[in-house]
Amino acid sequence: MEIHCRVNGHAVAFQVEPYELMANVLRNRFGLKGLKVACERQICGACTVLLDGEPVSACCTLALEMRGRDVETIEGVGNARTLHDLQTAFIEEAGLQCGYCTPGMVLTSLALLRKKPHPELADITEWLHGNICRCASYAGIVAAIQRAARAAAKEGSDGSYA
Amino acid sequence: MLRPFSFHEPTSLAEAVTLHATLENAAYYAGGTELLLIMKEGLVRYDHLINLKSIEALRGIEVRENNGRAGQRRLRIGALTRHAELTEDATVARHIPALADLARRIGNIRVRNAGTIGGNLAFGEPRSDLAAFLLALGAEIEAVGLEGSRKIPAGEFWLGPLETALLPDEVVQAVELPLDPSERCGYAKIAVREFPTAGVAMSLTLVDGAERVGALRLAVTAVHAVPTRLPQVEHWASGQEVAQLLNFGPDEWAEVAAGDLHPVDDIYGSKDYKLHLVGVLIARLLRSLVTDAAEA
Repeated sequence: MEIHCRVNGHAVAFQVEPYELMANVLRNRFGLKGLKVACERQICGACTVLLDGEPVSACCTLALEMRGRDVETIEGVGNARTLHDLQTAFIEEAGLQCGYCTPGMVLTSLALLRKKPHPELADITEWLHGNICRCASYAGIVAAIQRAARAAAKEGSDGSYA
Repeated sequence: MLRPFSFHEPTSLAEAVTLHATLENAAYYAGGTELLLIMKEGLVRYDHLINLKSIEALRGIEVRENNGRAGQRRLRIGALTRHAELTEDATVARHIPALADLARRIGNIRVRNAGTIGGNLAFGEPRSDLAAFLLALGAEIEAVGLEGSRKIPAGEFWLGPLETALLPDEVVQAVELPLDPSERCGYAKIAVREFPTAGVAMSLTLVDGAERVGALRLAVTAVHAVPTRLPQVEHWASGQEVAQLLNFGPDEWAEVAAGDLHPVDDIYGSKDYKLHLVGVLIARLLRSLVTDAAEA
């Protein structure tokens, strides 16, 4: 099948078999190794990517579902020289230790803040409930999201979160 | 890795059903939140996947007025509706906000972005949150197959674990929930992870100035092999004074529910623990629904 889509803002075209999984295509074909394949059953969130802005489990999504859509991986958040404000907040609030869950945590948090720039704690737990951190950095992750939300609010933005 | 299969994309229900009937070893595919898992685990193997997501007739949420035969006003939800969409849909929020509240708590955010109501029902998961809610409200499931379309009452839909009344080529087209303005409904569950250990759905109608139970419908998920109603509890509570019922704690409710429920000991808990959870959830739901009624 011929797939045309955008990956981290870049238009791409590639051939794929219908039975290929999105996680394998992104990791092995595109070299985007930030997402991790861990539980393989949508429980852990380590393979989280954003599909049209919505968090999905790449390991349980057929690659063909990328057709005509916007795919964002952690590699598209900030860049090698400049971290995204959200990533900076994660560092400042100790929202990570080993970093294995972090791509999924950051992407899900980003999707949340775009949808709700001023999330209540209940929103944060509702959205992040499906992302597991084996190092138990949960308190730091929550604090990072709250910190990033406050910082964006302070900058007097138009209410939206990039 | 998935074993190879061919992929088909019908644009109509008739085409989908015909494909399913003529292809050997085919499965319907929508969100894939259950299907892909069992395929990845090697529990099933399909040579063909039939993508339902291009079929417009499976989409849409709308209120249907009575059908001219003095039928009831109902909320019709297309089978392809994702849980995330139920969470945010304005029509659902206006007519059955408890459904939006339930959908918000299904699985996790990623499952909600991919999973559909049709798939949830068709898979026959004994721990489905939606199943309990549809049972309590007396919903109907519209299915389309080779013989045409039919409506299956929720009470006749779930036959066993992972087994529904759907015939081999049938696909869920929509779910219809009756709309009754006098009815309060809600869903409560205890869940450590994606599936509940116990979930209870309640539909409550109060009479005599909201002091007496006119009708009570209760359904439980995750505690039996199939999501199930609690007819003895319903019968017992009907006509009782609300104030009396609010005095009952989880233990009392569990004792009444033990007449309807015979859970087994398993890794999710002992049978006593599961009954206890059901008691807790009934008490909690009754309190919140009665409070809502008082505030209305």
